[in-house]
Amino acid sequence: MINIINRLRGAYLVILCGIVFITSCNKELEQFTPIATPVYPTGNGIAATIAANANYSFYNALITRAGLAPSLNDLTKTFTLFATDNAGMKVFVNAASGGAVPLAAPDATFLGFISGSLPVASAQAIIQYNTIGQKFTSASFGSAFPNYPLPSQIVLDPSQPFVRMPIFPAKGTPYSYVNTIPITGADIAAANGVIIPTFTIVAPPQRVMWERINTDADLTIFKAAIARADSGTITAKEPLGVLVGALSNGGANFTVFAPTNLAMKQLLSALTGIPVAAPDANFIGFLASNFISTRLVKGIVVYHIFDGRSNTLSAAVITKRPGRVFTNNIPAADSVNRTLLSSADSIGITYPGVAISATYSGLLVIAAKVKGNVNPTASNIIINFTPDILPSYGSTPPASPITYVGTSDQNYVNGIIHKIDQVLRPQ
Amino acid sequence: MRKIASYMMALVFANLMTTTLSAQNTTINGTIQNSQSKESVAAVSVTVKGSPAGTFTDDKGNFRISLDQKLPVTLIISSVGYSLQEVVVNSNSEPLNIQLAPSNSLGQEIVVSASRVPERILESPVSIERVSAANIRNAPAASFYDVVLGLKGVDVTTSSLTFKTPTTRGFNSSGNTRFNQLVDGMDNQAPGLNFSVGAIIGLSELDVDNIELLSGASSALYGPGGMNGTLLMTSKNPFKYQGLSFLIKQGIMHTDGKQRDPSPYYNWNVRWAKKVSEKFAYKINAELIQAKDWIGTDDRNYSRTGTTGAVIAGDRKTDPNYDGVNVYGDETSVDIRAFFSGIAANLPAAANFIAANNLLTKPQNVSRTGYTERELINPNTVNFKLSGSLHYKITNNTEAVLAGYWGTGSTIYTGSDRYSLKDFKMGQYKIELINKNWSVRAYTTQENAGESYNTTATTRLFNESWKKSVTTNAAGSPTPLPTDWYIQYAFSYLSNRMNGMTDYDAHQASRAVADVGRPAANSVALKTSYDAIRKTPISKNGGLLLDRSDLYSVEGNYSLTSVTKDFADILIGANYKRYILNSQGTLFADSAGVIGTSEYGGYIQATKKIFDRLKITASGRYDKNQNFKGRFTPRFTALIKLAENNNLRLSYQTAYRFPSNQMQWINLQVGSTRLIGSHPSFATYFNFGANPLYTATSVLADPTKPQIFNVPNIKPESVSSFEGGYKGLLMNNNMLIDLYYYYGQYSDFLGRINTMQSTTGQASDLSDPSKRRNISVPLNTSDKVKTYGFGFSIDYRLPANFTFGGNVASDVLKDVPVDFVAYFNAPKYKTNLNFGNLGFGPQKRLGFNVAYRWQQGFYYQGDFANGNLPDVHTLDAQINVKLPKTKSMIKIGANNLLNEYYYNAIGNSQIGGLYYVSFGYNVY
Repeated sequence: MINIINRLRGAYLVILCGIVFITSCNKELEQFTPIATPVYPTGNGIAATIAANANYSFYNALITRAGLAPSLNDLTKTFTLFATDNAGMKVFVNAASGGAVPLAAPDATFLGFISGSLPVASAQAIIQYNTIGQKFTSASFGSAFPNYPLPSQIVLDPSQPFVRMPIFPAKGTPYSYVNTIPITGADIAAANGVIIPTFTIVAPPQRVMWERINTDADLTIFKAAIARADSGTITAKEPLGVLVGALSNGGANFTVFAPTNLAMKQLLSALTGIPVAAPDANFIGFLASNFISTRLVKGIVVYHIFDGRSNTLSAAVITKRPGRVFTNNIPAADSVNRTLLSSADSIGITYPGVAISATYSGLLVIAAKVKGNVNPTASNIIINFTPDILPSYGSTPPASPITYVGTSDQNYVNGIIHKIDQVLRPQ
Repeated sequence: MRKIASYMMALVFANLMTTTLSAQNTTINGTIQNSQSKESVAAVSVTVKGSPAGTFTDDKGNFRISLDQKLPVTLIISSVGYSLQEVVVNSNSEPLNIQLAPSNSLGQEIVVSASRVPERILESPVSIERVSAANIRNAPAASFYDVVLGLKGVDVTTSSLTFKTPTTRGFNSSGNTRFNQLVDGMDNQAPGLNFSVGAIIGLSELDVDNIELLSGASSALYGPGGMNGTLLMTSKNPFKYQGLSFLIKQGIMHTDGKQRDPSPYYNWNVRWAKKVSEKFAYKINAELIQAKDWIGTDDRNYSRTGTTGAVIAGDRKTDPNYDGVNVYGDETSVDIRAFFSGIAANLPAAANFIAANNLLTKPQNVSRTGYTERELINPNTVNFKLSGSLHYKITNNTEAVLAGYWGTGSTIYTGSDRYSLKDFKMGQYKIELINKNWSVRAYTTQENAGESYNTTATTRLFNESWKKSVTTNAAGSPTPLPTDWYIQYAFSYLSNRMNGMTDYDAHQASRAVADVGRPAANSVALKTSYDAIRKTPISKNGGLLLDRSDLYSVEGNYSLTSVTKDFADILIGANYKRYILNSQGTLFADSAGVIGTSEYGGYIQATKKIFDRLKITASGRYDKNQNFKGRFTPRFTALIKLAENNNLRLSYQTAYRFPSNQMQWINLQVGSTRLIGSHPSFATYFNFGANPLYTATSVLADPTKPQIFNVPNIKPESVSSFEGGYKGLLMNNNMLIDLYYYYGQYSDFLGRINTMQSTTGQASDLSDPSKRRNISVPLNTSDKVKTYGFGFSIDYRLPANFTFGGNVASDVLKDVPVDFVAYFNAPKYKTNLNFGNLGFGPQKRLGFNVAYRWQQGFYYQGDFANGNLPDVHTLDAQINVKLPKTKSMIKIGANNLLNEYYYNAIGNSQIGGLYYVSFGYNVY
């Protein structure tokens, strides 16, 4: 019996050892292959790539002045930067200095201006306006018309930080643009994005459209028409009125075909018999009178505005209601587009659009037209690209009235103004 | 009918009045001891041969028996675990000292539940397992309930330390509505839950006389519900088990600090029973368990659609829509494309940016940041049970019992959501008359959910309390505000992408922005706000369940054998149950008042022995629920005696269950889905007639072509089961073999289907997630699901009191239709092995037992979560020493000795090791 027990003990020991071995391996619940986290690139970032290119030494100085090299070299992010080479920077510096730095000045003079005279805030604003988060190659931009707005790094509303000042690249044939500045070369790759060469600096706008309309000596009658159109709309919620409020809103994105005073007079003269040569005040007074209805004035005013919005989310409708249209975006053939008047579209009523076209000479637009529905002839966009004032960064807006030089492609935070020589008439 | 009732009453009355009035003039005193250890043996049956006279030894092993016949007489001394002994008494001048020899014999247990009449376990016509008090005493288990888990064919779902749900034949879950649990004849289910909450409410360990487990269908004898098995627990009768007993277990858990810091485990038991006279006895029991419970730690990512889903890749950082299994509050999910669309419509530059970065081309679901279970619940399990009974022998054959069982506990379990049962209370109170030929019992179950709450819902509401996800108006339409969590998230995300960030980094940064103000885990702010919400009823936008449901039941059984013995042994019975559902709108659709549901039924069973080799039994039961048509369930069994102590058994059994109270009446929002009941009133309330339901699958596939789902009238689920088995003693009765094979077919399987309904009444709006609601509706599946399996066990008594046992079982689900969610939840194979010694060393006072359990991994399906469960191996062990002089025993043991953590269900707590030492006094 003892032998049996001894033999059994041996067997039990084996069983117990086996049990202990087996039980030592409860597995964890099944795990899945982890989702990969980003692997950041290595190499030269945007700023480092600029710094390594001798043709961009002025722009490198601009980045340095702005203090944005670390941001542009952040390899955890990707960017698209519109940058100009030294030749383009000279054009910019010459203009920004009010001609104080001539184009023929030595390089050191340009560098000195960039590094010493140009306000840091201005340098930052330029870089931020020319930078888009994420990588957009020039080939990825939309077609030339209306254009392909993208958000820059300038935040317009800190409470809604996706509300950015837009920049408007456009892929055209044979020329592509950013706003009105031509793209002049092939994309330059960087580890964290792409650099797209431009003819010169694409300057960020600093003011809203209403500041121009409100102060332009040649738009006083159009301004009066806007005021009449807004009559009755001034409320606590809209203290400026609907139209003035919209034209003052930095988040908006309009194109305004602004009839000059002469154009306004010609129309009103035909309606009232007031001689065209009569003082502006006569016409302004008429627009404020009961001889003309607010509805009619409002209809005419909004017929001069592209708003870029739509009654539906249909992409086709958005296309037909463009937002900001630079002259270099305008197609050569007539293109009919609906205006802000179409926001009043209702079932059974569709308001007419306006036809626009442009004539090019190489890179430049030499003529552009816009025609109202019942105008016998098209109105001319008065071509003069000179900005309303030279970028006098840090200065306060000038007092009105002002005689502005520029008449076309007057770019503002919330839109663009083209002066025209006829009032557009929908019906 | 009235004649039958009158006849029955007459039989009962006659039986009740059959009283022995003869004089008693001879008294025999004595003491009974264990012949090996010399310890006194309590609860030993002492009867007089040829006489109805008999008694039991008290806690000191003493007995006193009076009889009306002259000496000499022969006393029959019997007790489980000892050899039967006959003692001839010639003189009563001196007290007897009887030495009772321990016996290790197998297969001698008497079971009652298999046929509702006492019979040897070897002669049970259906598969049955039995656990005696001695088994519990020697088991390597911290709780008596754990002993059940080692029985052949038993699967268990462990929700927490004190809430374990056993079943057989598959279909297990946390809270099993296909498995009955009876405590001293009373249905132990919580009326509002329709399942028993483990052993939280019921018997305390010292009061357990025996546990019997009927595997498989058992409705024919025990009524609806026992489709997969019935567990019957019987307490100790104070006439038999007397005196003071106590058992103190002190243990330790979390020894490795993996889930929580090492913490103590307390389990204290006390029992006092007194036979005041030959007529009257009483007992009182109390048990307290306290410990820091196991925690659900599964933080894997879960993809949830209604009540289905799957574990997927990703974590809080890599998946913006991460929904951790045991992370709560992150079930709130919103597709932030809606915000991007709004922005794009107004900002052309943003529109181009959004389009170029494909932010609208696929869903951009983002979940709220959740809290882990350990950060929220920190469950401290407390279980206190108090019970007592008064027993009065009206006659020698008739005993009246008035008993109460009350318990309260805190635990956690997994249903459609994760729930914390906090201060849950339940009382069961009964009065019964028990005669050897009949019994009548009336009882009630009173449930009180205490401060129980839905952890998932509470955490989601808590998140809403510190920052709204998306503000809505009174009509429920979104009216987003800049302060909303999702607005902040979406705005920040888009802005960060515009800043050049990767999608990954933008999500991290945006979550950080949206989570500004989020109360830190374990902070006072979290606790204060969280407590306020969990104490607010669900009906008032909180997480509190106000369940106060009750059950009332009356039942009776009568053996007609005295009348029909020439033909067959016939047993009849009937019962009536009434549920009173009362959740005050927090669980059921009972905002307007309580819901009453009645069931009644009756059964008859006839047993006939043929040629002493064959015993056949036919049973039939009819039950009716007021909301469903009546059901008849037959059962046929045959027991064939192959040889002495070797029997072959065959059975055909049927069982069914009425849709549970929850399936009939639930009205509960779970995550993004509302669970509703089957009662026709729901169709009216939700206006299915004018605003129909559509299948969720069709809406998700193509919202323009939704398929209407017509809500059906559901029927009871049923199962038919064929079984064959063998049980016998071999090798000089030292080996007990039991094996079975079964085949079952389920019909009208009860399940749920996810549907959608437009909130505007327009089917065209189904494409907009904000204009539709998810509704989960009960239904019967038309598919027939088949199961089959086998079990085999061996118990072997080795020399020198060594024991060895083992079992293996298999359950298989067959012919499962594609996409059918059966919740089978049973491993294909599982096995238990145990090895021990009942007495060795000096005076054979030492004992030990080692038990090993293995179950094969399987795919777990539950409303809360699905997923693969790996194999589970556990090793339990105990070693004990008996101290006869003080009638006590010291035991050192461990559950899950190697502290190998395991899960029994996806979403449940992860179970580790429990180590304890116990001191028991007068534990018999």
